[in-house]
Amino acid sequence: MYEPKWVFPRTIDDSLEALADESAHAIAGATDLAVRIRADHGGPATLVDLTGVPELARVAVDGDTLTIGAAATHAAVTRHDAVRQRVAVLAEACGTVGAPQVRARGTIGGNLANASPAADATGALAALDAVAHARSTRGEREIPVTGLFAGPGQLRLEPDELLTHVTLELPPPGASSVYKKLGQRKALAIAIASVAVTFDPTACAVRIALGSVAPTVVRAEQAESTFAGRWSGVVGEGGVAGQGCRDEVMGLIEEVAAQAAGASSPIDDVRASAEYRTILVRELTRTALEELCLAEPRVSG
Amino acid sequence: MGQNALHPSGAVGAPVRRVDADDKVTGRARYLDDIVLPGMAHAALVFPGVPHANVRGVDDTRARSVEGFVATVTAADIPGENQVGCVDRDQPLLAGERVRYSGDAVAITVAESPTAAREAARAVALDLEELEGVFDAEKALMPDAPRVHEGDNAYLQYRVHRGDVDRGFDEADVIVERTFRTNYQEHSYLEPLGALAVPEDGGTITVYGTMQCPYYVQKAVAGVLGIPLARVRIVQTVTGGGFGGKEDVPNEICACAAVAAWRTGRPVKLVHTREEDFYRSSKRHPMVVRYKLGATRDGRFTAADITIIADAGAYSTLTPVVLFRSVAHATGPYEIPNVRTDGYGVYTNRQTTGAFRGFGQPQTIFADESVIDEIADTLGIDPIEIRLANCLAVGKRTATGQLLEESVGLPETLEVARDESGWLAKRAGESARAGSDGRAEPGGASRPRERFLRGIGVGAIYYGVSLGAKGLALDASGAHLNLYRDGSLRIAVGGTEMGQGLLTVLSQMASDVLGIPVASVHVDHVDTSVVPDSGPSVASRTTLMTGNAVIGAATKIRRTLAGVASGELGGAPDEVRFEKGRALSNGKSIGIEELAELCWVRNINTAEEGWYAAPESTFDDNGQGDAYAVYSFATQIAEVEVDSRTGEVHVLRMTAAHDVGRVLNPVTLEGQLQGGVLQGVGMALYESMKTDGGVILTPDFSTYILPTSLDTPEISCHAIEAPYSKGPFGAKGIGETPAMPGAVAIANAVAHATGMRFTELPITAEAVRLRLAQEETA
Amino acid sequence: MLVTLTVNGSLRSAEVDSAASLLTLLRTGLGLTGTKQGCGNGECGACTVLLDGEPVNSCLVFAAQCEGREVLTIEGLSESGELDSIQRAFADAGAVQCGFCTPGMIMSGKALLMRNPRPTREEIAEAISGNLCRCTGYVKIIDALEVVAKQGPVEGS
Repeated sequence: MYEPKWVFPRTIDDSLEALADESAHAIAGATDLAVRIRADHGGPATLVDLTGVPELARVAVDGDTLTIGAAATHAAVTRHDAVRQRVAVLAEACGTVGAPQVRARGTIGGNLANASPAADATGALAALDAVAHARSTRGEREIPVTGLFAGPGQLRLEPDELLTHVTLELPPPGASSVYKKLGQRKALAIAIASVAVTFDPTACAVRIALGSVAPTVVRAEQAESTFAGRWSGVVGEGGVAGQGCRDEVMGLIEEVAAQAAGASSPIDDVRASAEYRTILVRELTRTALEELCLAEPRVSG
Repeated sequence: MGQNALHPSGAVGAPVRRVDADDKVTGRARYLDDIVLPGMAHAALVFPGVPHANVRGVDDTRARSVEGFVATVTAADIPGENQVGCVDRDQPLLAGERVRYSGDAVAITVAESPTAAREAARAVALDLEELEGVFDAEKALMPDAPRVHEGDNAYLQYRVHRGDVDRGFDEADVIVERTFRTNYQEHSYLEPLGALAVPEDGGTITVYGTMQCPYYVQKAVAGVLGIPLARVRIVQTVTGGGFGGKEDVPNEICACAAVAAWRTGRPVKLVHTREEDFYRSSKRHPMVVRYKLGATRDGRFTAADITIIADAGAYSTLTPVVLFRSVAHATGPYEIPNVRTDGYGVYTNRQTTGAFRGFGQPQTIFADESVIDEIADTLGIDPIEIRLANCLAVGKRTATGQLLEESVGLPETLEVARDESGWLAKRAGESARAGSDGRAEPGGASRPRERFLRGIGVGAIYYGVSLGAKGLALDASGAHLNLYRDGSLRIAVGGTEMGQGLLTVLSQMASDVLGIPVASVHVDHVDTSVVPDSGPSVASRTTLMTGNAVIGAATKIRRTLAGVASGELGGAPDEVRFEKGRALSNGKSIGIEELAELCWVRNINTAEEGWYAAPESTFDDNGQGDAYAVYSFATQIAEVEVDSRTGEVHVLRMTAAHDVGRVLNPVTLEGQLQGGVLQGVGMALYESMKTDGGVILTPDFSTYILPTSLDTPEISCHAIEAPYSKGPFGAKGIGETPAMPGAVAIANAVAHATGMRFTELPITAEAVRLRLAQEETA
Repeated sequence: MLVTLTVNGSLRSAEVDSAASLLTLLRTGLGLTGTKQGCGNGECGACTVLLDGEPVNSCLVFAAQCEGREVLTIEGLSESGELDSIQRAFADAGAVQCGFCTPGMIMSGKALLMRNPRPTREEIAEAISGNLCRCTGYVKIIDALEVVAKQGPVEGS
């Protein structure tokens, strides 16, 4: 029978010490780990419960930097005012995870550490160019979220390294973002495909992250650079309001969406076929870009 | 809820609060797994891990070393017959010699905790000789297909042949022929299967369990233990949903627990995990339905030629009765003079299939109602008009030749659903909501593609209430009523409450007959030692059958009380009225509790038995006869919006109009309707248990997709009352029909919205989007 | 291992396996069987309880993680012997059929109303979206919670 040992650290340093033991595994909301343990009839010999480390649950804004502790729950992130107001894509992504019970327990750190290509928060963080911070008794290092994954379930971290928090630069005023996910139903759904898109009109830049359509969450880099190269020319001085301009913007969006689909490498699984996923990447990207780029400019920030 | 008639006086017809509500909202209600007995052990099943194999050996050496291990039970330990086949005797309780599907149990392990029992079960080593399996009903029909049992895989056949089908098609101006396919639907009752067996004094055993049919269980347990029925007592615990899934499958669960308890001499509990439940429980039959329908230019149906292939899975279980119903009802609720329906039940090495709300009909309804819409489209006739022109009514004959003499509210359900949904305007594309916010008008298929496409569609059905000609021996029900000296009444019945509200409507009926408040009535869950075999609680029969039994017994008590009352008050006994807790006669009145006390003082019996047997029904070799005593009817209309980018189908609104005979309780009725409608939505859009070579790919609630609160449309319910003279207060059954017409109504609405007709369910977003992509290419 | 926590306002202790769930602690350890197990994988919500005021699937929470924490279960809503306003509304509105999802449903409703006493119908549907019900089609459950929302703040909010 599976009888894990438990460690209940109160500080990050104590956590790191516990995790230095090879048989130890960090645990917080356990919304995935508990399911896996049940299915496997076993699990790590030692579980290090991070839910008692206040520092890890922090969500805070310092200047233009947003810091989210690894043990911050999806619910806490979704409810945070700065997140809602300035990085809608993250609030929306966290708000589509599972259902209220899962969001109340599941954490940002768990979402990343699971290394699932379908992880909602991970997609949003990838589109926001977030940086993950990992610590061990040997020191601390930073890894861009996009570089955190080697494949499904494979994290580019050492076994004794603890993901402590992520940071990201809040987008400037006027920027906007959105998360588009299609699951098999409207709640309790794992994404068949998702796109996280940010748009900064001043910088003429979009960033597009794709979920559930590759071994890891991926960025659609070619699509992003096509957009960056063409946006200011398409829009010109007068904004997107004119009809001629609108058609041109729609044309650009179509092209960018098609390139995003090209950046995916989906598989068939029990939820959907690769063929459908490819179509969804294009359609979700198109819908996201239309919402962001054709919206009336609004005062924000 | 819209309703034709109001019943302001009395409990029947009133929105009486559920009698079990307080127990359920407080968590006090005791479901099977909430019961803990001293000395109780726990059982788990040993699964084979393969779908088809000869069993050469069972070695529990490693299991014995699991901490808390108590015993291993194999087929050799079964004291009676190793057989739980419900209709056909083809199903061993434990697969001692041969495994025929991945949910077969080869052995049972017993231990001190559920965890230890499962650990022991995993530690049992099976020596299996794997056999080639067959996992597709059509392939199972091939001559060289592996055989699941000794005889042919196509082990069962029914037909309904009427008139001259070839001539009927000659008379047709338009003929549509299509093949439809549906997959497994899983009941997904929230409470998993479970049983607790307790060996007791005198060589008896009591088995508690979550179930619909305690008398089936009694027979199964007596059979495997080899003891008389009189030594087997089955007690139904508060049951967390059934929908057909707890009709026959509890026989197996309870028999396993009973064998384990018998072997160990201890109370043994067996509760399935959700995954075990997926593997073990029956499902809605996957069916292939080939459907050919002819009609004249003016929309009159002339002939139907129908072939049904039902995947029975590894054992026959309830397929004979399910397929009978499919075949008897396959033409839909229409009068068609020439009919040739042939249905085949086929063994495969897959999960067994059996009863699920609608009982073999939703699959054929998907076919008939789709084809009718295509014919209507071809002829340019409104789909509801063509249904009204052909539908059953009093004086018309069903496909089995049965003359309908009363209680046929079908035309009214069509009209009410049409009017309440705003059908005419929406079907014609004049929706008030259309055109705004970039949404297309309904019927947008012929117009340039908009992102959101709206459509409206209809489905109409009929359902023979109770068991009909293939279940006559089971079709009676009993009740035992005891009026105590204080005027309170305790009722024991043979029909089960599984969430549908039976205890409440029975309380209402007894309340009205005896003039006592509902609060004075208590109805128990079934105990087979109290009430005679009352058949199963299935087929929308329980309110009708058990209700009549309760009314019968209550009427006897009332007669007794009337005699005493007339003696006290004067006036004739048969003119005594019972109202509001009092008996009234001769201008005077006396309290019921006083009457009850008088009976007690005078040694007059106030406990009575009720017994109700169904009217005769018939079904000859050509499927002709009065197949069911009475039918329930329904129409549902679906309004959908299709997102052409993602393929998602959003059901905006469902309008359900049901002929229920008589509304007994508008709140519980509406609850039944709403829940059934959502099961139809699930079947239409989400639910599909996927399998591969006998392995279930979706054995849990994260991969088997049920609708959530966010996937629920607005549901508008309307009751039509076409009373049934033999029904309790005129009521007919309502259990099945809510889940029947919705799926095809949605399919028809999708066809209206997109111009694309789907012949497979569910119509997932992926299916829609890939079809749109094909059409874009073409 | 011994776990001590506050359940429905009282300090309680139970001896459980170190891999046991909060659900097992409540049902087996403390005999509080009102909380149901429908799937064991956090996919149905039947085991929903409030952990420090947040709705959680108690089947996915390890009992070991609950040391010193505060848990509210269905039994805690009517400890005085009277139904709380949500329970009453469920019974009155016909929101109960088989009843197996009911305790979890009520606890999800409780969590919502404690945080947001005046939710919209959409917010109610969202709040119970992690609770599967196979009997009711959810309509009357949402109706019941809407009734409570219109009555004003619930206890504990």
